[in-house]
Amino acid sequence: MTNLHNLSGAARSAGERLRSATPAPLRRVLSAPIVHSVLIVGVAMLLLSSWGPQSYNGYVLQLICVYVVAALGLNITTGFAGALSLGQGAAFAIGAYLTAVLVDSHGWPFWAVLLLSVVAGLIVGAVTGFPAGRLGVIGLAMMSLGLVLVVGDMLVQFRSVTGGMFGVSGIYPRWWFGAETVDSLWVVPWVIAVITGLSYWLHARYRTSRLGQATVAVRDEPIGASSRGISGYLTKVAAFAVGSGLAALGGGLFSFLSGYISPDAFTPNLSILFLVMVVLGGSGSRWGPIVGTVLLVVIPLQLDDYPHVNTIVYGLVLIVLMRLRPRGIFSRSAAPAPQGLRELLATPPVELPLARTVPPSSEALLELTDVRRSFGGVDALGGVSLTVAPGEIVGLIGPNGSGKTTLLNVVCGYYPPTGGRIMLAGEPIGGLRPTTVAGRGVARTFQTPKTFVGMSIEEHLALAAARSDRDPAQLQACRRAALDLLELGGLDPHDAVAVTRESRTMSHGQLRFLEAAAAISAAPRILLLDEPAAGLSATEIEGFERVVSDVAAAGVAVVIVEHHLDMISRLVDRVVVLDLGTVLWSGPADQLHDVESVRTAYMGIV
Amino acid sequence: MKSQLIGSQAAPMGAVLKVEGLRVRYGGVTAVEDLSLTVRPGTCLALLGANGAGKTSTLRGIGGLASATGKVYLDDRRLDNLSASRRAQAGLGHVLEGRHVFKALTVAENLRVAAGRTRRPSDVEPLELLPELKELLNRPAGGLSGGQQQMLAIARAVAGAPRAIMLDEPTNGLSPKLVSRTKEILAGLRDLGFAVLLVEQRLEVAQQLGADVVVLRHGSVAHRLLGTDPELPDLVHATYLS
Repeated sequence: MTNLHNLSGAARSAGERLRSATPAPLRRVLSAPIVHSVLIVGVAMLLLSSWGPQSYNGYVLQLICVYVVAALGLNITTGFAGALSLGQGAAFAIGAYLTAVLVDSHGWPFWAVLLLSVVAGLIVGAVTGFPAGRLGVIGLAMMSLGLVLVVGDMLVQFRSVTGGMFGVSGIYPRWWFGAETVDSLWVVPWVIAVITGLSYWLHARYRTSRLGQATVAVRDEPIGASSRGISGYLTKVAAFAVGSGLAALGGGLFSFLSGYISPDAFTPNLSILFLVMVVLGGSGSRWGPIVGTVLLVVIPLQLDDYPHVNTIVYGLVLIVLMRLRPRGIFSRSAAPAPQGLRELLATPPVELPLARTVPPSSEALLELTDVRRSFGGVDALGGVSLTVAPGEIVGLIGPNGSGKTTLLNVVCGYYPPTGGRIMLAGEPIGGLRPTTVAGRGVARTFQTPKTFVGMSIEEHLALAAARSDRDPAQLQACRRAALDLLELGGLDPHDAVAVTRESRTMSHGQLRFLEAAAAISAAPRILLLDEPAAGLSATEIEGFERVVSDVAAAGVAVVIVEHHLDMISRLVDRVVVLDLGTVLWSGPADQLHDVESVRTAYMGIV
Repeated sequence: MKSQLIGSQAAPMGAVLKVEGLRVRYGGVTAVEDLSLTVRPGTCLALLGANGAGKTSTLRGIGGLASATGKVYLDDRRLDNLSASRRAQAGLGHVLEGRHVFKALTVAENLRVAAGRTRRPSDVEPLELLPELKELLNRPAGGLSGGQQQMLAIARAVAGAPRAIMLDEPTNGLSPKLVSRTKEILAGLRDLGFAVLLVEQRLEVAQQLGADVVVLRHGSVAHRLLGTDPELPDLVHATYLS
């Protein structure tokens, strides 16, 4: 495979140069969440022991840690899932009060109340998150804001439990139910430090887990995610639940830190503060919430000596920081995901060229019978029938607006058909949801690549990890094809630093190659390509043709919507011409120019 | 009156678009390095190059949509210290990759918005240049087909009273019939006297327009030649492979 103009040959940013200069094993160790966690706990303990648990500095550090736990949680909800939550303070307050009441009135040990706080936070978050998949960003923000107001008022009104405006005091840790409170002043600081480290680890692991990758994919491009079989709804609910769980845990720690709590500490401002911490530090990044929290706790304290100007300066600092770093101090949203790419690279080369033979008697894999789709009375598809066999390449052409993309969207489940039947391998798929259709082995690309701006090349490939029930030879061929596509697009899969680059920095054409590579690496049964050659050079188109032909040779059915007629005539076994939502003509590509109706409707030659 | 302009040679509306030492960076990555070019009124210059070579970045840098250093002139007027919208008002039309029509507005509204932002009226009536839009005037732009949206994007740029027009892959995703139509329109823009700066993957478009060609590689100029140069296809091919 010819290696064109790859990224490593192009310019690199300073950060990338630094990372390529670091040896690979060291890079792996330095990026491991567990290493960061140990570092966080170590630094916190070191500072605490030098300052002492009762010192002012010690208190500030513990407060930072407590807020960090809640901010990390919010980073999962707002950063990873993109759900704007103005209600992080509500879960924080619930955790704090649950802890305070159970410790003060019922003598619970600290570990049990903290555990229960997490559970309570998870439940509150899940309940808030359930409408999350249905509501837009603003609707969700309003709802979470409502939650903060409700919780804030309940703390005051339910006096018999919460102590009303007076709050709850006497919150000291115990080791066991009903036991005496612990004498040592070190228990609370140690617990806070360790839980902060654990929370960081959990938050970083969440991001690199399959769920976390799916969450970010849905945030960046929900339609692209559904075409890869990822459903958006659960990722949002889970992000809300886990985010609130961490907030409630932070609230519980806050109770122990203060020893006394009252509703004053849980105004709506607190929720805004958490949000600013995350956004300022870098929403969706690993270190952002921590840095944001440190800044937003330390800066106001430093300004306390200048009471007349402190708010003004504080506000200006925020404005200037956001102006300089609009996406936050740490703006990297991509996370390591080497596994998918490693599997690809471990694939042995396929013997090329594969002979492409369509078994003449093979049964249709995809069968459309009289498929219709209308939009408000207009027939975008007026009864289309066509079949595609395994290993066959079918070209779908027609004037702009003739229904080609609509046809792909109906097959993939984005629009349910208003009539007709769609069968995949003998099973009806018409009207199924896009994620279900994708799960049956239908992969596709889009006219405008639906890739995920905040994810790296390797993450795109990890998301597309193939199902295990695929034929091994086919899987191998698809993986090789995916690698070939990456190289064609100048995205060198062997360059360990370039593959961690976020897709937001790539050109349109590179995204096209990335999207196609990801779709093919999942070893689909049928591949639907929507104008894959648009915007590619002649050389790139030829390379693309070779790859598609290899994939088909391995038995994958291919439907390709395209306007490049020379590409169509070289590549496809059969052409289907759509016009005004119906099949105008179907037959071998070399006869296309002889059909008068096609010439007038499509080529504009009479 | 206005319809007579179509087809006339080098009408006075055009201006020289001149770029000196353009450099475009995204974050820490340099996409375009020290690029200089001149497009005269009534001529067309095509930027060719592989994906990621910096073609779109060049247009975005000139148009003020990407952070860039270097000088941009329209005739004698410096544009590089202006915002993207000011550059457009100064007469730099930009048809973006991906069309970016205002989907919630009708075709007529799209054109009116563009015309309303300029101080002087457009020398060319967009609907004279693109009569196919006349019957679509009251349709929301979001409901148009890709080809119709592309025509609208060009018409919108013309409505903004430009003196030079940049187009980013205007034939992308169009049927052969509409590709031919787009070529006609591009030739029309050139013959009306606009300076036309074109990013294109289809070599034949540059060739048929008789455009000057600049081939980019890794953000720098690899070759400059005439679109009619018989060596062009081989040279472009070689540049992509190197």
